[in-house]
Amino acid sequence: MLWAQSQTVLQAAYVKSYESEKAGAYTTAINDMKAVYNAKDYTANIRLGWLSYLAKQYTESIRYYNIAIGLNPYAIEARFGCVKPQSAIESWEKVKINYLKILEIDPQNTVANYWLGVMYYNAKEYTSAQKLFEKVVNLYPLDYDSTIMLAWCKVNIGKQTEARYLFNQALILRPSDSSALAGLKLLK
Amino acid sequence: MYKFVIIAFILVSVSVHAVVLKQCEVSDSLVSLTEHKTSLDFQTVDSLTYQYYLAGKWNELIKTGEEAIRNQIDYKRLRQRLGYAYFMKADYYAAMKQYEAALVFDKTDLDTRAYLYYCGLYTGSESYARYQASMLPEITQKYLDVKAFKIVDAIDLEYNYKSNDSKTRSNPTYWRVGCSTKLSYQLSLYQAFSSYSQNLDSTGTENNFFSRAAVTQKEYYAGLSWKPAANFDFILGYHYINTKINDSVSYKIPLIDVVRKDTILQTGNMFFGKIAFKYNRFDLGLSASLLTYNKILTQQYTLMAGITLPGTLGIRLKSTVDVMFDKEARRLIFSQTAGLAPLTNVWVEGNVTLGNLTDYADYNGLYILNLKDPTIFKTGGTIFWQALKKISLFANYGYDIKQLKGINNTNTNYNQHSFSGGIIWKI
Repeated sequence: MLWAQSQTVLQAAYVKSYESEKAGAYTTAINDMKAVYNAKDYTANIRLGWLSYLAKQYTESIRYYNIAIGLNPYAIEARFGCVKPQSAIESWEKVKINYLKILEIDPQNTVANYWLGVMYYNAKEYTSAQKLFEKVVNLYPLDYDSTIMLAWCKVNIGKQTEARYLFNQALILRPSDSSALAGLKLLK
Repeated sequence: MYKFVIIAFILVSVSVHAVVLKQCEVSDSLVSLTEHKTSLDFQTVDSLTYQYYLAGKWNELIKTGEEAIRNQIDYKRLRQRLGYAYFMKADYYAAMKQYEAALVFDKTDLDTRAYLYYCGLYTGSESYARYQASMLPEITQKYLDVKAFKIVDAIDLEYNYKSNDSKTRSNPTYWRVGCSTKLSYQLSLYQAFSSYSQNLDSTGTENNFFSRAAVTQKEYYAGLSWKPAANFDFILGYHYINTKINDSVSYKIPLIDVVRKDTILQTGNMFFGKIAFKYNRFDLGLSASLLTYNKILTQQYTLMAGITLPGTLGIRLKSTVDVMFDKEARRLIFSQTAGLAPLTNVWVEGNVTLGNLTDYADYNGLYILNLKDPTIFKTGGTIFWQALKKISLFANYGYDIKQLKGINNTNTNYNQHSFSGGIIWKI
């Protein structure tokens, strides 16, 4: 009976926080959740991590997401959540670590593979980036974003024939794409 | 579903670095702000540099950031953004300087350490890169394939053939096989075995005198490098030399042809120590070595100074002055090296060395010019080509003027051309 009552209170708090979030009142939504907060509740931590992120309270947001990761280490959603406030404060290495952890749990995860690839590309680690984009392109050959990034990786590691094929493929997926045209012009 | 997740993710994490292909434009109002504002404040600087960072406008970022620093607005993120802007412009020394300044604000920042690792890697300073990598979390080290201990980190092979215009000297050959071991992030060991062989002849004017010394020299080298701090290196080296001389002498005296054969063994030990300091584009080194060869002690003291000039070619100049003491005299040796990278995976280097190089130790004691006929002038060029990610090839041409000591101190010179080739294989 008591348990059922507490569940009703909890559900009501979530409803209130959803409404506050919808209205853009993020601090109110956080307070709605804090009223029923239990540090051992995975969902509450994720919710508070998200609301704190929306309220631009990035350090708090990361703290909640990290508690959630500790409670459910194999849940990749908490890590995906955590990269948002980490990105906002330009903590890129920690973002990278979360993607690497996600890939340890789910090696085929296309989102993690793609964004980790972008991070390696930006660090000029073209061979490492290539491996990640190749994974996504193999799983989703029609994905423009991964195809074009893979093409640029190939350019940077001197695989011109493969790059040319990929730029042409990118033009099929997105006709007149400026990046693909620039790539082909560079290879001429 | 996948598409939805990607799109949602792009919306929330569009700020993941400045992807060149996904640049967003900074509004004109922000740009005009820098043009018209005479005094910068923290908020303007932070906002502008962040927008430039996201937009990949590296020149504007550098201009605003440097101006802010001149106006005493200095903080970690600004240094990191400036560092990244220089990094993207392939000016890795300038990037390193900014990231090192960021370290002053936060020594534990992983982004700073990660980019210092890359700066080390892209400026050819592997030990600096490894030092920075030691501060990164295990999962990042694993992905970067950086290991604290690796019994065989690299293997290198070198073969050298020399051709000379002396009538009494055969063309020498030399080979070396080396192995590098990583003992920890700050400690590495390089070991090499090498062999040198040459025939040294002499003829007399009377009695058909002819002598031949067939020299075969086996060597072992061990060099231990320790990097206790990002800017310091200590190197200790040991070099063992074992020279076998098969000596044969023949001459005629009335009615008898005399042939005498003998084998002479000579050994040598060299101990080497070096301290090197590197700050960004500048480096200084001080080293000392003691060689005992054939019971003769030679001391060598070296002062080295180097600089890498700004620019995409990465022009590097290095000057070395050596003072050598042995039983005969004190000698001064001057050496100058200049190198550049005409392509990202090619390094070209030229060098010239002046002075009497008897028992001269080079490359941290890896090479010792201990054999007969001192080199009195040396020049040459080397090209390194990183053919594959883990394989580098090198070729060297050298020209030496060597001195042939005659009877009664009548010295004559001869020319020697040297051709080397080798491979370095990173395991």
